[in-house]
Amino acid sequence: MIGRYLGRRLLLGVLLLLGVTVVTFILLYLLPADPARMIAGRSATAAAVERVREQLGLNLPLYQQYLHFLGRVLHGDLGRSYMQRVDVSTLVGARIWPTLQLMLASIGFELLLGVTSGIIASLRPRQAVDRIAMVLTFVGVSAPQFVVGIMLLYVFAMYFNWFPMGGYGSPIHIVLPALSLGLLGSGWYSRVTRSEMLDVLSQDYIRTARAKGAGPWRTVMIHALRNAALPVVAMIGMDIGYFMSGVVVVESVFGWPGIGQLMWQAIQSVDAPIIMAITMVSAIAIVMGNLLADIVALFVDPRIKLR
Amino acid sequence: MRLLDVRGLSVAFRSAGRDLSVIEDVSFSISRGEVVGLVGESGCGKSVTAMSILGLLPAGLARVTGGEARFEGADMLTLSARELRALRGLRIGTIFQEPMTSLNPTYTVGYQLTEVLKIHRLAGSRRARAAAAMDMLQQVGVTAPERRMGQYPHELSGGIRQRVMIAMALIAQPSLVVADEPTTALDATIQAQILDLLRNLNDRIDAGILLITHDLGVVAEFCQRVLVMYAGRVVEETTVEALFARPRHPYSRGLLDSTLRLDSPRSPLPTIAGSVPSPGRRGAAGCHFCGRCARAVARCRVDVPPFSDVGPLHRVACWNPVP
Ligand code: SF4
Repeated sequence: MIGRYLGRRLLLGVLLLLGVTVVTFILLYLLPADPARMIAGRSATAAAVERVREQLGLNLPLYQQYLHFLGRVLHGDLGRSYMQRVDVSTLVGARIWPTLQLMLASIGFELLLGVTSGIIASLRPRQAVDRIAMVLTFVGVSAPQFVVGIMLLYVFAMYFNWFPMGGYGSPIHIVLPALSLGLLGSGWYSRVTRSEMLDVLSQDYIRTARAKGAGPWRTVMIHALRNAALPVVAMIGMDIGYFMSGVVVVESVFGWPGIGQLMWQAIQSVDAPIIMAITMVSAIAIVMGNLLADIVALFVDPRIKLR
Repeated sequence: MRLLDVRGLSVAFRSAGRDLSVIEDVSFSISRGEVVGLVGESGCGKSVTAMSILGLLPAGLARVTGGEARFEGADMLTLSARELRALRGLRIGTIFQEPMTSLNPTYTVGYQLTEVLKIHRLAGSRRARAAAAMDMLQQVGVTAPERRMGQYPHELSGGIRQRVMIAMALIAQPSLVVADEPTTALDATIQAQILDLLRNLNDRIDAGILLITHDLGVVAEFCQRVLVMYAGRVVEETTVEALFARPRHPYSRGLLDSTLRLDSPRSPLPTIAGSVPSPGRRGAAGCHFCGRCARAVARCRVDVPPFSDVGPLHRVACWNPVP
C-alpha cells in the first residue's frame, strides 16, 4: 500500500521536475540577454564570443541544448556558473543549509503564532485576538513580504536596535528574516485553525468529552485540536512552495546567505545553470514538503489511508 | 433521599438579543435504581432539560434562568465549573444518541475509555486503567476486548460503538445515568440488545437512569415512571402502566395513538396534526398544546394549566383531561 503510494508520488515528482525544467529552460532561452557575450566580456571580438557559444553548446537548437542539460544532470553534473566560474553544485550546496534553517524557523513562527492565535480566536470568536488575527490576515493578502521585511528592519533593527540589520551566524540573526517570511503566513494559519476549531468545537464528541469530566484544556488541546489539525498540516505542505518564492526577496533584503540570495544574483546576471539548479531544488523541496505533510497526516487522523 | 431532585427548572435561549424561554418550570425526581423516561416529540426540550442539569448547554447560547437541580444534595445549577466537572463522568454517566459522532474519531476506544479513569484519578497506573477498561468492554458484551482497545470508532459497527459509549458512561460506576436517545440510531434487534444490556448493568450498579426518548416502545420496555414533555413543559407524570392504560393528557394520548398506529402498516399517518411550536411562537399565556388539541376549551388559551394530581402518582397539566 505505502509502496505504491510512494512510487506514484515519486513518479509525479519526476514529472513535475521535468516540466519545471522545460519551462524554465524555454523562459531563459527567450530572454534577450546573450550569455555568450556576457561570459566573453564586453570587449571580446565577435569571433571570441562565437567560440564561447560553441564551447557551451549555445549554438545548438533549443531541444538539443535541453537534452544535453538533462544528460549532464543525470550524471550528477549541474554545470558551472557562467559568472562565478565554480561548479553549481558547490555553490548551491553551500547555501541549502542556511535556507533550510530559515524555512524551519519561519514555519515555526507561523505555527506558533498562527495556531495559538487561531485556537484563542476560536474560543472567543469576535473578540480581541480574533480581530487582530483577522487584520493580520488581511495585511497578509495585500502586503508583499519585502514590505513586511523592510518594516521589521526599520522598527526592530534601526529604531529599537534589538536585532542586527542582516547577516548570518547566530540565532539572533534569524529572527527578523524568519518573521518576515512567517508573519503573514501565520495570519492564514490563524484563520484556518480558527474556522476548523469552531467547527470541531461544536461536534458531538466535544460534548462527550465534557460529559466525561474533561476540563477546558483537555477538551481543547486533546479532543478538539487533533481533529482540527489536518488542514493545518496540509497547509504546511503547500506552504513550502510559497516559502520558496518569498525566500528570494527576503534573503536579499536581510543578506541571508541562502539559495534565495544566490537566485537573486543569478537572475540579475542571467546565470542560467544556477537558475536551473535552484529551480530544481525548489521543485524537489515542494514535492518533499507535500510528501511529508501526507505522512504526518497519517499520524494525525487514523481514518486517512494513503492511496 | 432522592438521588436527583429537579425543581422549577427554567432555561432560555438567547436569540437576536432577547431571551426565549425553552424550558419552563420543569420538576421531577429520580431515586437510585429507578428508570424514569422523559418523552415527547423532538423539539419538546427533553435534551435541553438534561443538558442544563449537566451544565452541558452551549455556553453563550443558552442559560438556566431559574430553579434548582439537587443531585446527592448539591444544587448542580449553582456548582462551579470545576465542581460540576468532578461529578460528570464520575457520579453521572452520560450516553448520547449518535455513537458515530459522539466518539472522538481520532482516538482509540482504549484511550477514550481509560480517559474517564484518568480524569477522575480512579486507577493508579496505566495498566490498571487498561485492565478496568477491558473488563468494562467485556461487561457491555464486546468480544475480543484487547483488540477493540486499539481500534478507532470508524472501525466498529454502530452497535459496538454504542456499547463502547455505554462502557464509557458506566466505567466509573456512576449513581446517575443520563441516556439521551441511546438506541435511536440503531436498528430494532440491536436496540433490544442495548436496552437489555443497560437493564442488566443497572441491576448491578443500581444507578438512577433518566432515559430520554421519543419512542414510547422504549419507555414501555424499560422505564418505571415517565414524564411527558411538550413545548418545554412537563404535561404528565405517571407510572408506565398508568400511562399506557389510561393516559390523561391529550398530548400523551396522541403520542400513544400514533405509536400504536405505527405498528400497523396500513396507517402511517401520525395522529397529532401539526408540530411542536418553536420557542418564539409559544406565547406566555395558556396551554402550549392548544393549537393542536381536540379537547381545547376556552380557558386553554388564557391560563396555563396547573400540574395537579389526578390519581396516585399521576399528575397532569390540563384543563380538560382525557377521561
Ligand atoms: S389544557 Fe386545554 S389545550 Fe391544553 S391539553 Fe388540556 S385541553 Fe388541550
